[in-house]
Amino acid sequence: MDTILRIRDVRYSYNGRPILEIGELDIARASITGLAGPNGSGKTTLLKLLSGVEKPASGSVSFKAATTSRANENTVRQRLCLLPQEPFLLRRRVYDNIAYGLRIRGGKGDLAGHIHEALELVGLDPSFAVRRWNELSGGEAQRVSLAARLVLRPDCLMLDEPTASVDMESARCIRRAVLLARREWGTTLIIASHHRSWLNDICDRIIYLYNGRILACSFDNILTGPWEDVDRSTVGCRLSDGQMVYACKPGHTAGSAIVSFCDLEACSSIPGQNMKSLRGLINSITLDNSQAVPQAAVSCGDQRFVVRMSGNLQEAKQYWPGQTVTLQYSPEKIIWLEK
Amino acid sequence: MRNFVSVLIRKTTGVLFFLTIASQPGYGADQQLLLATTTSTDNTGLLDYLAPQFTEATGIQLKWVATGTGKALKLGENCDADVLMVHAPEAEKEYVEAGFGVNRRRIMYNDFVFIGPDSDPAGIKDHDVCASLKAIMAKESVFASRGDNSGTHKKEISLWTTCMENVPEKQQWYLQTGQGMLSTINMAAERGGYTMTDHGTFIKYEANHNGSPPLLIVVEGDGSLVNQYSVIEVNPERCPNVRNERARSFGDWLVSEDGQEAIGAFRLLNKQLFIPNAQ
Amino acid sequence: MDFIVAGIVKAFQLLVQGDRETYSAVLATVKVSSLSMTVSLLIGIPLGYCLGYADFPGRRSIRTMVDTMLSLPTVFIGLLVYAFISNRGPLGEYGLLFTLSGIAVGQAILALPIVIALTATAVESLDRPLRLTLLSLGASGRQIFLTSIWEARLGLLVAAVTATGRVLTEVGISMMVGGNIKWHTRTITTAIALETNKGQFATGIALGLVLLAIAFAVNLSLSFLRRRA
Repeated sequence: MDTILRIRDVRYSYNGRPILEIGELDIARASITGLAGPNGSGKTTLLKLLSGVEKPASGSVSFKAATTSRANENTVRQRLCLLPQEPFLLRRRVYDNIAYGLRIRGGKGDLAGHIHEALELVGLDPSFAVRRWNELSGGEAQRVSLAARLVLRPDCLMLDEPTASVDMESARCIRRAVLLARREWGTTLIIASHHRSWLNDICDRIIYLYNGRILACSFDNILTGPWEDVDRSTVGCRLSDGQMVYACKPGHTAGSAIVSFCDLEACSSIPGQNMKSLRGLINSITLDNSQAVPQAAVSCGDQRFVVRMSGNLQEAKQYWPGQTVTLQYSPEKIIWLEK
Repeated sequence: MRNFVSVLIRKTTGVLFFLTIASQPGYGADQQLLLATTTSTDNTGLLDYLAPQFTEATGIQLKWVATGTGKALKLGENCDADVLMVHAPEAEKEYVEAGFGVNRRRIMYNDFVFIGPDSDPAGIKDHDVCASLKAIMAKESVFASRGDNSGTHKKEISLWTTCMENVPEKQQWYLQTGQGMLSTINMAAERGGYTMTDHGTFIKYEANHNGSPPLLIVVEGDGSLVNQYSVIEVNPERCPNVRNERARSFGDWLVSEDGQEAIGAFRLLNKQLFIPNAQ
Repeated sequence: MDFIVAGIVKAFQLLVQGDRETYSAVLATVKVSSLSMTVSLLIGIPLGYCLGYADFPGRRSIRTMVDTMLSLPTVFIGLLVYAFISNRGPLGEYGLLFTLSGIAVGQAILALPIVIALTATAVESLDRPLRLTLLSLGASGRQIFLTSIWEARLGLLVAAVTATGRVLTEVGISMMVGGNIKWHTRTITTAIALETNKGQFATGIALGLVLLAIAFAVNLSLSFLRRRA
């Protein structure tokens, strides 16, 4: 793969607290990568490291096969743009906000052409250019921020929660603009978002972050505890509807774990040793880009689990939302997450 | 906007740079001499009157700092002035002995006078100095003192110690102003009290009030009230950077016929303020 | 009391008749405060920026020290500067005593803590996302400094105006370091001090009004910056 960004052995701490620990991460050129994870999982920090805004305490970040160091960090940062979560504009007109990036790169003379083009990209009328920073709504401000970055034709564009804090129309415009950037200029996109279905829809690949680490798999089925001892080798987590989820005792203090379920009701046909089951209610059945098969969101009490359905379309047709199903999992196959 | 600001900054810096250069000494063609003197020679206007004549005679431009005698002497000690004109004979003699100044020459004198309100609450009019001080102390009349180690102040202190043995330091009625002569006179006037001033400054004060000031002379002519002015050059051996030749020219001119004549001719309200007495 | 009215009348007379002594004092005041303000802004703004922006050990102690220096009395500064530039002092050879440049040095010391403290406050109250936004647009350290200063320009204006006011009106430094020498180092404030000492209150009032007129002119020309912000 044509790698444009590469991370190796990076650690990042803040005030002594470890925030991020990533062994290896490659981002392909012109790809759309999603970062998914709960609050505090380190998505924003990872975006900051990738865009050069922050430096890792140890390890390396490379852009186009050249490690970013003090010598080249200014030039690198000029090719990577981060769009922060909260819209923020300089205290000047929209025109000057968008022109800022061009000016510090030595752009002189009439930039009006570029600026109007950028405004149209994000769905704003060129007459917006004369408005002042405090005369815009949140969504308009975020679109102007995006325009300020698109006008620079960056190699990579990092978006931190682009659909939060904005109205629906702005969210649509933002999405359209970044996809166009990728199509026309080959801009690589890295998007962090809570909005799972939006991410699934738009991204080639999704990276799951939890507690500052990349998970090998999706973390839909995380159980955070509390765990109680059931017997010498097993712990259990009681759900709100009274059901118990069992797991083999880990070598360390039980924290969070990911339950790996079999495909929906597919295990019942296999005589598995020590399989446990849970009963739940199907909330929804969805199909996303990266998977070929549908997924069912099943709720057991307050807890929600996401389970793949069978690849066999015939079998999958038997299920519908509102149906009670049995989920099966192996306590031994539980994945414990280090604290 | 950015363009405008940068142009503005450049223009302002240019103007300021020019002003700084222009304000440096030595920009003019004249030679300069720095005199440290007391407020009485400055406030009376004597130096404003003498300086142009001195410049015409010698081509030297006179600049002077007018402070109290104490500070003037200190400036000379620190080599911050070239020549001194003060009126504190005792202190001056010690100064020369200590090697701070050289070539002390008498140039002029006037007398000190006691002034007070027309009502004369202590009843000292036309008495002699010691009787007057005694009366003021007895009646606890307000008396304003310079309190700043100036020539006038030193004289006043010597009178208290000679007549009364003690300076009325902490008395309520004894005001130590720490300021110049005219300020002190004004404060005495405000409180309806007495003060001791040199005759020259009193005439100036009279002139300021168009001939009818609130305080009038009550005691004068006593032999102990002579006020002698001298010029002293700052010792060039101690202060190699001092402009000694010009300082000498200044002293020479003051004691010369022309200088002495000019001093004697200085008038305010048609009265002579300083009497030339160079040897 | 009547000297106040006499003073107002005299102020007009002095200005309109072009009284040479008055204009000499005005020129001296303008020269010396321009010089001291330029120096203190050029040094103080970057220092204030560092103090408000960066986080380093001892930052709070330095800030406290700067705030304390806001209370330095002018006569005290005058005395300290005199000690240094007197012929017996370490910087005596530069001949700064009794010159406008010497006064400017003292006034710069007076203005510097004001500029630093108020700039630091202005920079501290900049929105937190500013730095992130500028970095994410590819700005270098120098560009972040210049842009942050421009974003904080209202606060910096306060710093400049406050410091200018302090510098225009001080007497202690001008008197001690300048010597109040007529035609050379007599500024408006030392002239006022002299005239009031001589009992010429009306002239003192007149000169005070002239000083106010200058201060007004300076603030008027700075007000355009406020409008553009």
